[in-house]
Amino acid sequence: MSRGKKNPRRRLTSIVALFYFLTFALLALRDGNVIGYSLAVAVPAVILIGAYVLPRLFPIDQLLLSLTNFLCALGVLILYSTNPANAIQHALTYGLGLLAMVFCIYLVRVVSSWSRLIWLLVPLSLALLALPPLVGREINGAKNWIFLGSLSLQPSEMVKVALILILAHFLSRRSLLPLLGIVVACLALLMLQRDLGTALLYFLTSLLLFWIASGNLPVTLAGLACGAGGAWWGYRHFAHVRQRVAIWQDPWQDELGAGYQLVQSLTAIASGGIFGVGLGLGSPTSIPIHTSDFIFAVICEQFGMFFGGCVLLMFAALICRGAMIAASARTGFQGLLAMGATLLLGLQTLLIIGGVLKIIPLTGVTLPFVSYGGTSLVASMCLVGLIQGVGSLNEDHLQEDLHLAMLHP
Amino acid sequence: MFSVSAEIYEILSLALRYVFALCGLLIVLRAFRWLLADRRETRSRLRHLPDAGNIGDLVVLAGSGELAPGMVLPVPREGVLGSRRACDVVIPCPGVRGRHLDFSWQDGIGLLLRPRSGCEAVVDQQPVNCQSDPLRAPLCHGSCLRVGEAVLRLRVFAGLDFSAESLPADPAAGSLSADAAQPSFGMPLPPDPGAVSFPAFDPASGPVEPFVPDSAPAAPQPAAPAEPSAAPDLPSDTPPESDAPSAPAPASPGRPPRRRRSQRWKEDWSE
Repeated sequence: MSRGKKNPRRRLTSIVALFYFLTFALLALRDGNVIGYSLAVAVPAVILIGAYVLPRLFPIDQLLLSLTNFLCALGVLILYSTNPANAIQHALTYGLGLLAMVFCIYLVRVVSSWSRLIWLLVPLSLALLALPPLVGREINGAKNWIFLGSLSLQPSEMVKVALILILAHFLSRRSLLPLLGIVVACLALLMLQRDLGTALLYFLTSLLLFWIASGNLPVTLAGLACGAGGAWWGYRHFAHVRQRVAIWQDPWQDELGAGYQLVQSLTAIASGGIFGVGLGLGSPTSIPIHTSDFIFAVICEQFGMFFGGCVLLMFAALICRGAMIAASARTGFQGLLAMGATLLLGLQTLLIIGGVLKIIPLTGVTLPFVSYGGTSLVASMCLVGLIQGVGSLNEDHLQEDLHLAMLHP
Repeated sequence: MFSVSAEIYEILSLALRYVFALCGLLIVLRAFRWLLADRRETRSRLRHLPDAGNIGDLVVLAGSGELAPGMVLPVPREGVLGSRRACDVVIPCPGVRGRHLDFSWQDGIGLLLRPRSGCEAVVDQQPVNCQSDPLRAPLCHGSCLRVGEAVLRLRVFAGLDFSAESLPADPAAGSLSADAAQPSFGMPLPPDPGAVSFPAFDPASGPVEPFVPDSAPAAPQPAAPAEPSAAPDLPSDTPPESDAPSAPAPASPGRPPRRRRSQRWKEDWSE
């Protein structure tokens, strides 16, 4: 490498490792316990190992991995500042997520014919979505979780990954009627669970991916109109939807009741100002559900809106990378797979950030990679794995073209 | 373990928040610089590989309207062939529907064709329609495809090429002889098999104008790009004086000239 050519991986990784060393060391000085000091060493070490060792073992896109590492470690950091037990759990789940990501990378590389797998995934996904209304437990007005002993699972998060595979398969083959049936069935089951945020996410992802695959604007607009009709029907028939819209319009009308969550979130963001109140200071625990839905408000309170903007830009970089990989794909299925996963991550980020900042009504989805939630984190890592798998195939094809061009000048 | 008082911690935390903001900014800037650098690198690599993503060309042997004999249409790995401009291979010819057929390249077999409902094509005198099994009549290197009034011949790039003769008698077997060149990702390709032969064109299939090399003048271009424009550092095409194979561009000392893979076929296709 010439002297003037800098290694972007090294520069990004070093800054990320330094950031987490400083932050965890600062929190360790506050607590004075061994966990803090261990994390101050372990987290940067894992980031460095992940950046330099993993790409040698697996076909991984390094920029995607770096950004994912940063966001997951940010989740560990914020959770540690409020509850160290949650941070350890999140870190362990991230390890599981890495395995799931590698599995998805190899799945995309190895499977050549997806038909049988897709037709297996369809009934499995519908069965998983049907479980919460039957045997699930209602939490915060929605029946999204099933419990296996002490382990809680959110089937709608797992089905997200299957949905992307199903969408990519049917759209690449232009089989729209079966696809429509499957998507409508998924949406109906989600409405039964009253998981309207995830239903909105599924709907928007399916519609946008259809538009990208077909370019058919009239049908897409018709779908959007149907979605608007469904949203209006939901507003008329679900009381909690009306409540959320009312809170979004004016949270201070019931600031100690239904609007308390949003009021606390906005107050925390405002009190953080540009540079934040300081890591470990402030009162993040006063925000309800500060570990999952409102973790972005905690980030803005502690680090400031400037840093919160940087986090948003990191998500934007991740989305851009996914879109670039999708655009370079050699087959329609691979392109739609990468684009679908990218779209889903991007839309999920927009929905939750928009809700926290009171741009749109709250939807109850989590911030990918950062929010506390095992199923959500593993599902997000699987989506990144699908994007990485397509990226690795693109690189293989390009290398083959280069090789053939040199072999036959 | 070692800890500090609440007052000292507060001072440290307030001081370090600017460092954290700076770190966040640097991470974002470096991430986007990395993104842009990768994009530039990929573009420069693709600039030297104008045929990247394509498996070969369809050479027009006979056509009408905007499709003139001698035109070369790049063929991607998969796509749609039809008369609409949005198609991946555009054949603006009478008898060709807007979206006439879907095609996909299958490693080890060839280009599989799936005509849409109500559409037909002929592959090496074998008719195919929406009911036919695509594996029964794959389009291989040298195969002839007739759609509507257009007659085209497929030529596959080196490393992917194999002729119809090298296919097993039963297409369902799906495996090729060991001599056929197989693309293998990340591994060195086998030596040139040398056994590739082009199937002879059957005059009984109908009157067809003889093949004219790529540099034939005055051919009206269709909406879709017939051939990608040459990269600036590639040697320019020299029009042939006759049907004799054109000599390759003179190589600079110690370095062979860079040519598109499709240009390699000029001398092979003279008839």
